[in-house]
Amino acid sequence: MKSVLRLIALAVPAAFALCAGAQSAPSSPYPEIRACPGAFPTDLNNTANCQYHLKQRTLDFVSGSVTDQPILSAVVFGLGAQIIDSPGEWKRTWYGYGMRVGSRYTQAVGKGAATYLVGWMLQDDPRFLAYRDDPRVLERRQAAFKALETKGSSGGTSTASSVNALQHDGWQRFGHAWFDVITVRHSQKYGKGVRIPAFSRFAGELGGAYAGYPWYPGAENTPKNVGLRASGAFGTAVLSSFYTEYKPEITNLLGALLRRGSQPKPTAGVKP
Amino acid sequence: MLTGCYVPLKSYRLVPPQCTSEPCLKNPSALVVPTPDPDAAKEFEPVEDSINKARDCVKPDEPICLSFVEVDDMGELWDKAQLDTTLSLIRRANDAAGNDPAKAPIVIVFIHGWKNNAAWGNDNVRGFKSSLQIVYRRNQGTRPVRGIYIGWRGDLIPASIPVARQFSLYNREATAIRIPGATLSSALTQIALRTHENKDALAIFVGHSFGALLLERTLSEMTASQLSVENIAQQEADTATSAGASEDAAAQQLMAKRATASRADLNIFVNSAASATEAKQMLNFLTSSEARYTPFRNPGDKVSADDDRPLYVAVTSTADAATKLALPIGHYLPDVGFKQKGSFRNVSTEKGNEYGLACYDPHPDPHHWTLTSKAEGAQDQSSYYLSSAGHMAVLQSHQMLKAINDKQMKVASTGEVMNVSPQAIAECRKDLFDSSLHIISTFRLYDTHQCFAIQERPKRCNGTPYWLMEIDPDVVPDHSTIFTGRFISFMIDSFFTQPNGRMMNRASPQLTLSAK
Repeated sequence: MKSVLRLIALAVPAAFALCAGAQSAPSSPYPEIRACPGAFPTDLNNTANCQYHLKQRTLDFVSGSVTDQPILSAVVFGLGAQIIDSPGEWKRTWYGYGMRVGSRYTQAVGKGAATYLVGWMLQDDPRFLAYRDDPRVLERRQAAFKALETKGSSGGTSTASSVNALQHDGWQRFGHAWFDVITVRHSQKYGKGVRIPAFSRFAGELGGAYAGYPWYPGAENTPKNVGLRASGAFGTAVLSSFYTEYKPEITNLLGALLRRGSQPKPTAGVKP
Repeated sequence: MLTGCYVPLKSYRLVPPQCTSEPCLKNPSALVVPTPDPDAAKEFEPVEDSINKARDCVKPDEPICLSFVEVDDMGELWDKAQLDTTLSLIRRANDAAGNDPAKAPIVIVFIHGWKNNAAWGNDNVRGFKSSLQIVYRRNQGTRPVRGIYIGWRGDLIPASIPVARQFSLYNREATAIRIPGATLSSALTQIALRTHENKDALAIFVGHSFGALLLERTLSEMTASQLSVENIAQQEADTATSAGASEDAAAQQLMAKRATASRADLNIFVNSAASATEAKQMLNFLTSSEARYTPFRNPGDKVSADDDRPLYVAVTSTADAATKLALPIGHYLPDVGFKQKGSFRNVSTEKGNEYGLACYDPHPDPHHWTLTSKAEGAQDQSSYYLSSAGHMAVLQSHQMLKAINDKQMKVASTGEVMNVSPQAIAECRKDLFDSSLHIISTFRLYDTHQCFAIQERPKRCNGTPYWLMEIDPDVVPDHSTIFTGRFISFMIDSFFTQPNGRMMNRASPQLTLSAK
């Protein structure tokens, strides 16, 4: 039964996967491009085997959906809901706050469990990867620098296409961040698994939303409200993907606020 | 019940792991690291090994070995036998090398940081093993490599409790400050001395994150005193020689040699989580003594600007959120406390209370100057406490340039774009760059072959052998991802290699200090 389920589950994404296509390896002596989802290109701990193992999947489930992270999240967002009085059926009492926290925690566990189960069945790798670290982008950049090297050593000039391949296109990055939210990779030893729709993520959002059923008052359990809860939860996946993509810029931006010790002025200093 | 929430305080390398296939490992503190595939195309393909395949490092001519020295939360050794085994491994490698410089061992000490330890399967242990394989291969497989992993309890809360784990930052920082002491400094001194029993052997110390803090606190005091002894003994030897007192001269020279041998040839801090207050004292010392380090030149040779090399290198990623954001935020409250108690000095030119920043650069004239106001770049002591040295532009000695197209390069730390010769980018060769740019070295990113260069920072205040720079996220993307082919090849190309492309040697390991 388990095998049949797995086969069915894999057959659907296989159709989508045809569009993604496998990536070709560049020719020697340039090294083969390998980048694991969730890892950095040439990461020595992942290049030999970057499969998303059951142990890692379980750890991600436990840390993200069972232990202190979802508890803290439920406490904080439950407080926010208490302040804006949502849903109105729960009074602003300790009981109401408990319901808000409990429902959120249950939804987190439900979301994690559904993601875990569907992801395990499909053997997907849901870890995000920045555009600049995507194997296809790396291959294009490698080809561009290869062209520059060849032209350089023969005294020629580079082609416009090779130069363009070196730029980090703003829109491509933006699109890649979205694409990474709605698709995942099939877990492979060398991280080159085909892209499939993010069924595990979708199942997680729905599973989480429906896990709130026993908690919420009847009026809150309409398909529309459940859908709203699911899409709200999907926002965290979008934020994670965008954070992965724009981490250097975000760090620089926030770092600029805290930066100390600016560059000395060119004319600065008391000379002896 | 709460103790179940902590990673236990224990040694990971004293008891052999359970063995299911013969021959079983007897001493998990000294292992053989598998020799890498000689195929150059597989340079960064780590050779995986497992507990069952682990072998004891017993043969003196074993190409790569890894030993462990573990300390507890208070900085004491778990078992002195680990250090003895390590010293014995180095001695046997030296003995096997004989007088052949091509076989002189390379000894690399690594101190891990936060959220790591010496456990089997720990990412840092695996990454360090792979890095040793790369160093071995880069030396054409001739020089034996001995790795020494200094383990401490960097991981206090398990990964399954992620929020509480983040809050262990303060506790682990306090531990990293507490550990440096007689135990670790004597261990590092013995490792350096034992390595330098072979005059061509190299000792390189590396620390990451809180490991860099730990290493810097251990080294600063002892290196400063070693350098002072080395310098004064050398001066005395010169005086004795000119006075014809050959016995005195020989004794002083021996003392200078001992002092030189008792420190590492290169100290590297990666994404150091130490406040800049740690680096500042060493920078003050090196600045006031006009230190220069030219290990590739023989004594008496004419020295040019190109010959200056670092004794300390601190590289920090511009995308390292832990040191760029968490460190200043984490230090904010203690900073307020220090300020309330009047512990910090402010920039001042007031007589008797002067506080500025002394600068030194051996290349432009004049070599010395002082920044006396904030407008000029001088900082209050509080600012040094609230930042890591690598992120302070005023302390940075170098900057990393990245080719962004066929004729432009971007400065990693400032984002400034500069035009350079297309030929220089295409061939990625230092000599093709305009000499006014003061390019120190170039390297290609291992996988994409993107060209990068290290440049002396224009108008820098720090021209000492303590190099500080921010590096691009394409080389190190964040705080923890350091065991990558990209970063290891950058370190080897930029700091382990001579300008002629050969591995660095110890022609003249003395640091030259001013005779003043």
